[in-house]
Amino acid sequence: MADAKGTLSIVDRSHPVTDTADIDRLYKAEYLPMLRLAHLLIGTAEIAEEVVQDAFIVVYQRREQIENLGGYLRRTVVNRCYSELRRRSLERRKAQLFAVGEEPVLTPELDETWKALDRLKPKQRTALVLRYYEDLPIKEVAELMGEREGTVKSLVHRGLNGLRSEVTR
Amino acid sequence: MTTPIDIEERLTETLQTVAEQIDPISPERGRYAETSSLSKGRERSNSRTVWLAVAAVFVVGFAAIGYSAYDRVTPTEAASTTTPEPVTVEGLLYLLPPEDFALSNLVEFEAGDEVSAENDMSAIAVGRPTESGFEDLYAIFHSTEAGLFSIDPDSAQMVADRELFDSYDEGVGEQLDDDTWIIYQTEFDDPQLERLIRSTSIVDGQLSFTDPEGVLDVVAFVPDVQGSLNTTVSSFPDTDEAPDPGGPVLGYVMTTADVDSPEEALYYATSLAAPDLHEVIVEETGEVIYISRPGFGISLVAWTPAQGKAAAAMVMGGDEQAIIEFVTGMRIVDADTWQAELGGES
Repeated sequence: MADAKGTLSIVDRSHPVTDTADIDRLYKAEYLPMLRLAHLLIGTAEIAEEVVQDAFIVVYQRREQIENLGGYLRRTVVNRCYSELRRRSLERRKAQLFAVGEEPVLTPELDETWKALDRLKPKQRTALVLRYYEDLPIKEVAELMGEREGTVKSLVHRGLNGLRSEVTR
Repeated sequence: MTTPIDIEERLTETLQTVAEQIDPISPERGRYAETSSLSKGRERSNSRTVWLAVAAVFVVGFAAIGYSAYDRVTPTEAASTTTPEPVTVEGLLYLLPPEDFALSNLVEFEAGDEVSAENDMSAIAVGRPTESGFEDLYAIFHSTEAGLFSIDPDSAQMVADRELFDSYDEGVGEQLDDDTWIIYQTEFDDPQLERLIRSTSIVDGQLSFTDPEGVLDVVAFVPDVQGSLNTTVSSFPDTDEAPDPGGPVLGYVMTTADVDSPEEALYYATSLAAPDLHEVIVEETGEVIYISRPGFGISLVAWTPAQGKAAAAMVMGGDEQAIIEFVTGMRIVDADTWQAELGGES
């Protein structure tokens, strides 16, 4: 089952899955954790929900080819979030606009950090969320992002520096 | 005196606090539920209720027909009612350059020319025509601002003057007179193109090179039997196989079966002897196009050097709603699963 942070382990099998009930169970167990992850990666709940729904549909449609449902799901969510984040980043640069999403209720310090997170580069944000929210080791973050560990270390380091400079400005 | 901020602690607290405030829809709702057996269960339950009522009036066979009709609704059909209609392309997929984009300038520019990328969402492949008619120098750029770069043919250096907003590793290769190759690439957040790999050589038709400076990532170009550059291998030393800098570099390539699936976000280890690139044959001409995805998640690059043309595309979104953000090139053949808005913009 998933832990509090949504670590996926509900279905971790070594053979292809054909039983849709497995995916339904995965959906019920992992929908909220994946939604939280997507929200933190993207910054807006509405798009996060779309991404997660899409991801589950992909898992459902490809279930016969998937060996590790949970791993596939999380990678799909991260990939799609990154794509979305990057697309928004490009659009934001082009339009010189700042994305406006739902505003969580936060203390001024946390709110400042949350907004600063939105100003990071997409990969930096992705790396930070996976590292500090999902609590994944660098190696797993690297695997999830398709990056080498050194790159992820750099992303995390630069991301933290970016956050620090934003909140102390 | 101010207290130093523990940014890691604050970030963790921020992420957890925001996450806890997320108020999701019920798992029983949403497009997945409509697609999966969750909805089937509900619909069956509902239909069962209806059936019981109807059965009191109608014959059982009538209800059976109704249930049979329901059972033929596939997940795809169910999903299609709630997801945007993608443009489905069967067979050849022609990717069109953005309107007003001077494609010819991209593929015909002279060495030393400055080329400005007009689309800030671009992935650009460029080449330098040679006497043989092939392009022997390629660069793939992901440019966020109006990317500006130049090629100095004398020094064989390529300088990237652009703002990298992300950690793409981009490479360029050059074949030397002695048939060895030089591979250049940029590093994370460093727009300077560095000359990283030297004295590469061709062994039995395959690219073989070492990593004398211990650099992890390279993008290499593998010549085909005609001597054209036609494939790329994004590689780094495998810690199991080549733990030491300077050791052999194994090829890592992405699968390209479809867009945005987890497999594609992974580099799969291959051997250089078997670069696992996606090879597409244009049915009309028999032309072979090689496609690789050198970046994380979303980038697609394809080119046809044998035709003296380069093409690149950036594909965003999933396979159901892939959006071609930017394309230069003549045409690219797509895999069956690809669906795209042709020439579309985000």
